[in-house]
Amino acid sequence: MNEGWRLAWHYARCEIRGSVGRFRVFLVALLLGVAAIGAVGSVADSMRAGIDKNARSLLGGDFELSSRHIPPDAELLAVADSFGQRSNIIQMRAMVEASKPAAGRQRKLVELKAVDSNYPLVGDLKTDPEIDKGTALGALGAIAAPSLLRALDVSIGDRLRLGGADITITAALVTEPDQSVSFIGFGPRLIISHETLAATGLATQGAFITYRSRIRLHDQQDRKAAEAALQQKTMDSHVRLRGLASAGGGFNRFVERAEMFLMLVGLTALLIGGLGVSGAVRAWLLGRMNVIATLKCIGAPSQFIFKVYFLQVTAIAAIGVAGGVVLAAVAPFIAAFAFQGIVSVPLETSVHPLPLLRAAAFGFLTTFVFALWPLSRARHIKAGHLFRSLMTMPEGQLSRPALAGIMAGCGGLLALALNATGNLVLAGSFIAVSLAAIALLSGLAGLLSAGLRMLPAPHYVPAHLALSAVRRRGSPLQAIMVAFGLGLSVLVAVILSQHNLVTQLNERAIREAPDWFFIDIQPHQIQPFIDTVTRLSPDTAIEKTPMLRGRVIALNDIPASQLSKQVDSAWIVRGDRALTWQPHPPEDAKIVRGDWWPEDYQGPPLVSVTQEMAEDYNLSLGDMIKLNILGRTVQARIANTRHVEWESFRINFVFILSPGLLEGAPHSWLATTRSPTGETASQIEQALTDQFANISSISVQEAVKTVERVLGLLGTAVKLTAGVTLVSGLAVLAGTVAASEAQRLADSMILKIVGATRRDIIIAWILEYSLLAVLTGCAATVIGTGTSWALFSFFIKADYALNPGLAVLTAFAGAGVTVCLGLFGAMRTLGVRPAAFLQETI
Amino acid sequence: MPASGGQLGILHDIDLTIPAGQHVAVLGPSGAGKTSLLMVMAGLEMLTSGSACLAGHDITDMDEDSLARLRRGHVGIIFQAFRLIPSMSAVQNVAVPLELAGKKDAVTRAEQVLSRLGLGKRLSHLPDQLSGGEQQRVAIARAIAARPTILLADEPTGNLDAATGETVITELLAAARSVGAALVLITHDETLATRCQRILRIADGRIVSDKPQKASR
Repeated sequence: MNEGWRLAWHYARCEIRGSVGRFRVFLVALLLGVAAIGAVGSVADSMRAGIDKNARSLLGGDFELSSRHIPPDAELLAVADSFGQRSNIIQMRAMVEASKPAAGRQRKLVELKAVDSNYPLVGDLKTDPEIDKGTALGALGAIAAPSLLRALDVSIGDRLRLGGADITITAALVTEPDQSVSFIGFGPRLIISHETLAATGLATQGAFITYRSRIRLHDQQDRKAAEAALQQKTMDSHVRLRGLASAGGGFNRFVERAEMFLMLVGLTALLIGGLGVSGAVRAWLLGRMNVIATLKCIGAPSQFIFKVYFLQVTAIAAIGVAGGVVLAAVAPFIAAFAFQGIVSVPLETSVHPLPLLRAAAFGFLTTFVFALWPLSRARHIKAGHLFRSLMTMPEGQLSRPALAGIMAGCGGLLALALNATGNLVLAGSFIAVSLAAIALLSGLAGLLSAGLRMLPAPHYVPAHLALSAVRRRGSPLQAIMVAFGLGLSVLVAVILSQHNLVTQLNERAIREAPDWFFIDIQPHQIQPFIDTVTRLSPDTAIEKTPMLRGRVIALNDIPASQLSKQVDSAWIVRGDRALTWQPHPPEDAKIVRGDWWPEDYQGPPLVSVTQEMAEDYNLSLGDMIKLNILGRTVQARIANTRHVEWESFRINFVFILSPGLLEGAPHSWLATTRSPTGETASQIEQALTDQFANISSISVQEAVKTVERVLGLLGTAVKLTAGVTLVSGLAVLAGTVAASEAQRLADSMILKIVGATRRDIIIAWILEYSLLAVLTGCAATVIGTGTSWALFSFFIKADYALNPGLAVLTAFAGAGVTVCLGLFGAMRTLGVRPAAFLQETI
Repeated sequence: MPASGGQLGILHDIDLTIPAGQHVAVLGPSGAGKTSLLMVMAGLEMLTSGSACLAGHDITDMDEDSLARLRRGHVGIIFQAFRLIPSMSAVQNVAVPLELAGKKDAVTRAEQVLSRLGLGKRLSHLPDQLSGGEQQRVAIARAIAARPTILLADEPTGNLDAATGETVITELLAAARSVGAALVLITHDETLATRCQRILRIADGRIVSDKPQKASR
């Protein structure tokens, strides 16, 4: 044990004292990366814990049975009743109208919720004023969200027109215990009673209604038995069973995906930090070479030297990791404050150890991978050079154990990334792409350096000096290009991607989107609907289609529950899907495989599905799809596959069935209108909702705004995390500038001695850093644009519009910082007088 | 030791044996190969041909770590620039080779050696809190602490004023005698060389003169 870790730690401790300050860049880079990864995981865990803790309240009971169009059957409800108390809720979208003498008639789309006397089974419904629920909802009373009151400029006691009834606002909604967890809602909440809903006449056959039956168990011990019994009864039916585990619904998936994406951006920050670690360790060892050589002279073997410095690096890393973990630990508390009013789920603000441990492990492993290279080189410092004061860092190939260590570390990082994202392909691709990007930037820097060396020396002295500084060996070009370039590339990619999404959404909305979507049009109303539109504006384009909902039960006899959940089309088999029937293909349909059925087709049911679904589930023409439509099982054979442009704002369906099967089923129509002017569009909407009280209109402009708001929120989170990568890059850049300070001092002194003025030196440095900024900016523009294009082409699968202006602006604004930071660092050496420098060095 | 050492082939036709306890001064102009010879003796520079033995061990083909372990017990090195570890106190610096050799009483022995060299009151001082002479005495203490077979000193007074240099050299010779170690002293100073029992003169990598003499105290 004489060369063991204990003695190495003893020496490491002596050396660490007072040297933590030299590891500023190391500490900042590591701290930021660990904090970003830990914070993303902690906030996501807080959200999940918040959902879990409030699961009963969010679900509205222990179980929920939900169905579209028709309620669950009596037999199923009898089973539910045997386990606990039941509450029935009916939800739909509807239009309310306020008649104010001064403002005229105003309409608003609302999320209508009709409840029974048992509601809510869990939690409390709070209103302002605090009145009994029975009183509030009795006698055509309604509880309205404050935003509805504001939008219609009405107050408590005012009357609203809802369908065929006049209802009275009795209270404002303060807390809705079973409010759905999501970022998006199409309208404010309006709560009424079942009796009031019946009076409105809105719950017509085929209307887009969701029936929910919540069950609160008499005895919590019955949970498993109840679940088994309900599952058996709902299997292959139109009713969907949800337990506490799925209380968060789609929000859980959203959190999972956002976490995965942000985690990868955080990991990029850490990898850039790793470059800072590598640079800082190299600079540190360069300054310790005398000590290392001395230790060797007095008999310390290389392995011992490695241990001493490995322990020092680990100890310093522990400080950075600890700082990052502390920041990450408080992130849920900050997020709870920041998300107030944006997310309806209460965050569970506590310390979540698992994501913190994972972030710490990421920090240590990154340090290990990036520090091992310089540390292994330090083992080979020549002790004999002490006699000649000739100390250089050994070059050459990595030793086999060091290479094996780095590979093992990369394997560990991959395993952790897999653990964090739960996606092997994504984690593997991320590590591979990151390493490739580092190699690409490094190679690019080498090429540029070589290219610059071939340029003839300019006659203008400061330009000559600048060019020499950039192309000389040991210039910061490579370090800046790799670390800062990587951060800048991420930022360019993020900004371009977000800009592309929002611009395309808006451009398509202006170019192609209809003005209004009209839902719940009864079959007998469709012709009068068309007549009204044509009468008001013959130029208004109408698109219409019958619609009802159904659930996929099986694909080729494979039950939906056993189908892969990892494919992009998983959403199709997850819940209820809208379907339609048509004798001829949609106007813009692109049939990929098979043929459309003849217009007069009368044979067994056929179905047209999206090409993407066919590919994801390996479906061929002739394969069978089993659907549950309104409680009945329907089997249809795939006749063709279509390419569907979901982002086109047209009415699109995954499933289009052949005619003859569903016409007799209760259904409603969906229609869109696109008018030549905004004024006509409003007139048409007003006339239609006047004429048909049960028809709800959804403004596409409003919907686009909602999507934009969600994109904006996501974009802010991504930009924030990408900002961390940039700050990591800046820290590395600052470290590089600091490391070259001695060299810069010597250069400037010699220049002064040979007659250069301060102005000459400053111009030379401005040119040098401008050259670095231009080169880094160009690289970031190309890599960032390429990444953004790849993201759209291969993952989002949407068109990509190049925006060179924005890319260049982002890259060069960022790179401009290079000039300022570099110059700021360099200027400090200008104040030293040559005489003082010479006295110290000669 | 027929040798030509160093990557540039600095040493040629060297055949040299230094008996235990002998004090040898090596003189020669700059670039003659004095330091290279010292580095070969310490096992810090590999030979391109020939062989080298240290304390009965053939070090010609020894790997770096084995050489390090051999140095721990048999070689003490003193540099012109002292080469103390700046983050360690005087006693910690002296204790390093002893601790590396696994001596449990390393610190006590380091304190004793430093006290013998008159630094008993400077034990816990860091190198930058010591004068040049004191730093070199700590370096001597570190070199002799493990009672080496051979002491190699590369212009140990080069960074010191004449008076301090005189004191240090006296202590170095005494220290070498006290542990019975051979001493190889590289110097430009002819007077200093006369205090050794043997003077080697080197020029162009070759020993041009090897004369025993009666050492003066």
